[in-house]
Amino acid sequence: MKNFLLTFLAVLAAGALVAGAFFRWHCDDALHAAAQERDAMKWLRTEFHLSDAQFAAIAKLHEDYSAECANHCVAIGSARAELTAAEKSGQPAAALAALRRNVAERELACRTAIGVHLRKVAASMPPGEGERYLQLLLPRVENYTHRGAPTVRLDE
Amino acid sequence: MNTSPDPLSGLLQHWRIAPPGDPQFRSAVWARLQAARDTRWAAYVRQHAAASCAALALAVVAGGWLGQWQAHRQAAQDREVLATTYLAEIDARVIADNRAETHVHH
Repeated sequence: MKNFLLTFLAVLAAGALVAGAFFRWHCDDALHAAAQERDAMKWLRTEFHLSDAQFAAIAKLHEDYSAECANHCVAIGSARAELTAAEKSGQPAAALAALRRNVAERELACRTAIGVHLRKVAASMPPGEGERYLQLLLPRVENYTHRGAPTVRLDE
Repeated sequence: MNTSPDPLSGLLQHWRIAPPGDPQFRSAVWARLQAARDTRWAAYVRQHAAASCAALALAVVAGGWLGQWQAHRQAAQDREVLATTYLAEIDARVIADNRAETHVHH
C-alpha cells in the first residue's frame, strides 16, 4: 500500500511538472503583462505584430480620433441625462419617445464613427492581422448594450 | 556421577564484553533501513512496470494537455480584458457609461 501510494505520488508529481512546463511553454508573457497593466496599446502592438512605423501610425489615428470620440461622449452623455431627467419628472410618453430616439441616434452615430475608425486602424496593420483585429472588435462594437447607471428600481 | 562444579559456569559469570563504541552505529542502521526501503519501492515499480509506465505516460499526456489548456484559457481571459479596456478608451458609449457610473458612486 505504501509503495502504491509512493508510486501514485511520483506519477502525480511528474504530471504536475509536465503541466507546469507546458503552461510556461504556451504562456504568452507579453499578453499577460499587458493585461495586468491594462495597457491596450501595448497589447495592440504585440497581439497584431505591429512594426514601429505601423504602431506610430495607429497611435496617431487614435490621437486624432480622441477629439471626435470626446464629442460623441458629450453628445451621448447629455442626451442620456435629458432622458433620465424627463423620466424622473414624468414627461408624456411622446416626449420620452423622442428623447429615446435622440439617444439612439447619437449612439448610432458613435457606433458608425467607431466602425470607420477601426477599419482605418485595421488598414494600417500587417496583412491578415487587420482582419483578425476587426473580427475581434467589430462584434463587440455591434453588440454593445447600455449598462446604464446602477439603480435600485426593481422594474429595471 | 561427577559432582564437581562446572568450570564453564564460573568462566561465564566473570566474562564481560567491552565492545568499542561506534558513534556512527545509529546513522548506519538508519541508512541501511532507508536503503532497504528504497530497494523495496524500486522492486515494487519493477514488479508493476507495465502499470507504472502506463500511469506515467497518462500523467505526462494529461499534464501536457492541462498545462496547454490553462495557458490558452489565460490568454483568452487576457484578450477579453484587453479588448474591453481598448474599447473603453475609444467607444464613447462605454465612456459615457463609465462616467455615469463614477458619477453615481461619487
